[in-house]
Amino acid sequence: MSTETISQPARAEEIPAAAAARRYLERFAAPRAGAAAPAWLRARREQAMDRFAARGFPSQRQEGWRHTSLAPIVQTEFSFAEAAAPPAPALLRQLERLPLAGLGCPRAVLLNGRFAPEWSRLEGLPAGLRVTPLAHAWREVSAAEAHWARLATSERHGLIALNTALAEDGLLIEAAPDADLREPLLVIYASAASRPLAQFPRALVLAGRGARLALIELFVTLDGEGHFTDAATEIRLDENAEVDHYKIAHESLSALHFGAIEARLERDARYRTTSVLLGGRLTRNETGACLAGAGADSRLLGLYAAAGRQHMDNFTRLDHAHPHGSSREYYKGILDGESAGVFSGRIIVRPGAQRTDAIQSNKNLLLSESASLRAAEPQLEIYADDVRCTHGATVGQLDPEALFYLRTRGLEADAARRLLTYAFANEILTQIEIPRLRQALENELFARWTGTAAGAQANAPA
Amino acid sequence: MLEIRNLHARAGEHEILRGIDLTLKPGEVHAIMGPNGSGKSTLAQVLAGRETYAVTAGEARYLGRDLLEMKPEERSREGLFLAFQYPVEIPGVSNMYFLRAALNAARKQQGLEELDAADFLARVRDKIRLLGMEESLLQRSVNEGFSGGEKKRNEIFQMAVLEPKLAVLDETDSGLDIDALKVVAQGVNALRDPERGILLVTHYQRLLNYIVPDYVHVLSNGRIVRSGGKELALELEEKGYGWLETAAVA
Repeated sequence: MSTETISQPARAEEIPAAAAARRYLERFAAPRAGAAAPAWLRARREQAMDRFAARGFPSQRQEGWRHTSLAPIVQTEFSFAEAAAPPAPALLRQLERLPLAGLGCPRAVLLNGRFAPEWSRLEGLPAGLRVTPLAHAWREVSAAEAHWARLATSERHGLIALNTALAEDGLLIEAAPDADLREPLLVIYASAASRPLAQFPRALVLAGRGARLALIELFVTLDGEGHFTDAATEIRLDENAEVDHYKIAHESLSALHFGAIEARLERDARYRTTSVLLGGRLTRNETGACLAGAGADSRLLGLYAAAGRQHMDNFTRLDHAHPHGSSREYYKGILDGESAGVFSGRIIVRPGAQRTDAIQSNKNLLLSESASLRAAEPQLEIYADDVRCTHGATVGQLDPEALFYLRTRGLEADAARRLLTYAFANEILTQIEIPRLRQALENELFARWTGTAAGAQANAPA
Repeated sequence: MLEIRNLHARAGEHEILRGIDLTLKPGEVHAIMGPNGSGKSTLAQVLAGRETYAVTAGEARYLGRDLLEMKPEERSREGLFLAFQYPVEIPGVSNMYFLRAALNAARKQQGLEELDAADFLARVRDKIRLLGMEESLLQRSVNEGFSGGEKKRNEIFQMAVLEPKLAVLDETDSGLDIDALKVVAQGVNALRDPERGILLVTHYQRLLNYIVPDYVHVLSNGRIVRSGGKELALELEEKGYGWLETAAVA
C-alpha cells in the first residue's frame, strides 16, 4: 500500500464549482508572466485545475468541514497579483517594524506570493542551506520535479488544488545531508494590495539525511484588507533528519487564510511543527504528517487565539505507516468575544505500524459567553493491535481558585484574569526552542492580555 | 489591628460562622483551634475576601477600616496575607513573576518604586535560604508539581517577601512532617514583630510547640467556645475535641 494514499472523504455536496470558480479558471487560462513552465509542471498544474474545476471548494456537508464555512472566500471576487514591480520603500519600512520580522536571522520574503529579492536577506547563508525561488527551481532544480506537490496534493481538496494550479512562485529550501542549521531561516509571506487579492504561496522543504533545520514561516498583511491567502508548505525529512518548523499566522483581522503544512518523515526523522494563529477573520490551518519510516517522531503544537468575530479551524492528520513511530499533538485555544474555534484531529495507524505511540490533546479557554469551540470527535483509524493512542479535549473557563489566589496577593481582578490567560498560552510558548521567537511571541501575547510590555520575564530566567 | 464582632457567614444555605468575636493587637500571635467543620478555614477565607461566602451579620475592622468592604486585592495591599491551606497551582506563571507582581502591587500602594528583576532577586535570596528552598524554585511555575511540603513552604516564603502587617495562616502545618514543620515554624518565628499580628489556624496542637501563641481560641460549630493562654492548647491535646461538643451543648 502506498503510504501517501489516504482515503478521501465523500465528494458529494461540494459547492458547485461553476459559479464560484470561474474567475480562477479564467486566471488559469490567462498567459503567465515569466519564463515558460516545464512540461511536468504544466501537467501537474492542469491536473490540479481539473480537480478544482470538478470539485470546487470544500462545503460544510463534507467530512472535516462541518464547522467551517468558506462562504467569505467563495463569494469574494479577488484580484490576482501581477508580476512584481520593485516594492515600495514605505512597505519595506512597515515590514521592518514588525517585531517578528526583526529576528536577525536570514530571511526570504514573498510579496503577494512572489519572491521579493529586494526584501530578502539571504547573503551569507550557512553552508549546507540553499534557498531558491520556486519560479527558478521549477525550471532548474531536478529535486523540484521529484518532490513538488507530492505531499500537499490536489487529491485532498479544492483549496490545495487551487494553490497547486495557481502558485506563481514560492521557495525551495534545501538542507544538505548532515548540515547543522539550527540558526533559523525566516520566511515572510507578506500581502499588500489596494484591492482584495488572492495569493498562492508555496514552499517545498527538503531536509537531507541527518540534517538539522529550523524554519519559521510568518504570514503578515502590510496593506489592503480582506485578502485571501491559499498557502501550502511541504516538508520532507530524510532518514534521521530533524526539522523544527514554526508557522505564525499574523495577517489582518479581515484576511482569509488557508494553509496546509504537509510533512513526510523517513526512518528516525524528528519533526516538530508549531502553529500560532493570531490574525485573520477566517483561518483554516491543516497540519499533516506521515511517519513513513520506522522510529520517526512527530510533534504537532498549536496555539490559536481568537477574539471579535474571528474563526479559526485547526485540522490535523497523523499517518503512522511504520512501527515504533511516536506522535504528539498539543493544541490550545483561547477564544474571546464572539470568536469560534474548531479542532479536529485524525490519527491513522496502518497495518504493521506496531508500537505506535500517539497522544492528542486539545485544551480550550473560553473568555466570553459568546465564544464557542467545536471539537470534532477524534477520528482514530487503527489497523494495528499493539499501539497506544490517547486523546483528550477540554473546554473551560479561568480557574476561580487561581483567580482568588492571585487577588489575595494583590493583583487586580482584571490583571489576574489576563495573567492566567497568558499563562494558559504560555504552556505552548515555552516549548518554542528559538529564544528570539519565543520572546517576541511572549511579548506580543503578554501585551495583548495584560496591557503591558513587561511580560517577557514571566518565565524568563532571572 | 483586627476586630471581629458577631461575625456570621454562610455558604449557600449553610451557616458556618455563627457569631465570632475576636480582637487581635499588633505583635500578638493568636491560635484558632477546633475540630473539622468548626469553621476555622471559613473564618480565614472570609478574612481574605473569598466571595463564595456571604457575610450575613456582624463586622470586621482591620486597621480601623471596614474589612468586609474591601476587595481581596485591597486587603492584600493593605498588608493582610492569607497562607492557603491548599495553595493553588498556576501552570505557566513563574514563581518569580508571580511574587514580584505581588510585591510591586504592595509597593505601589505604599508609594514605593517598583522593583526590577535584579533588585527583586537580591531581596528574596535570604528569604529563600531561610525557608531552606532552592533558588531554582523561582523559575518554576507557581506550585506546579510541588510536593505538599514545598507548597506550604512556598506560602511562608511569599509571606516573608511580602512582610504583611497581619498574617493569617490556614492550617499551614497540616500534612507536614516534623522537619518541614520546624522549617516553616522557623520562617514564621523570624517574622514575629511588635508591629505584626499573626493568626494561626490549626487542627493540631503540635504546631504550637514551635510557634508559641499569646492566645488560643477554640472554635466549635461556628463560635469561639473558649479562649485562653497557650496552656489551653495543651489541655485540648490531652482531652481531645470531644469534650467541647458536650461543653458547647451544655
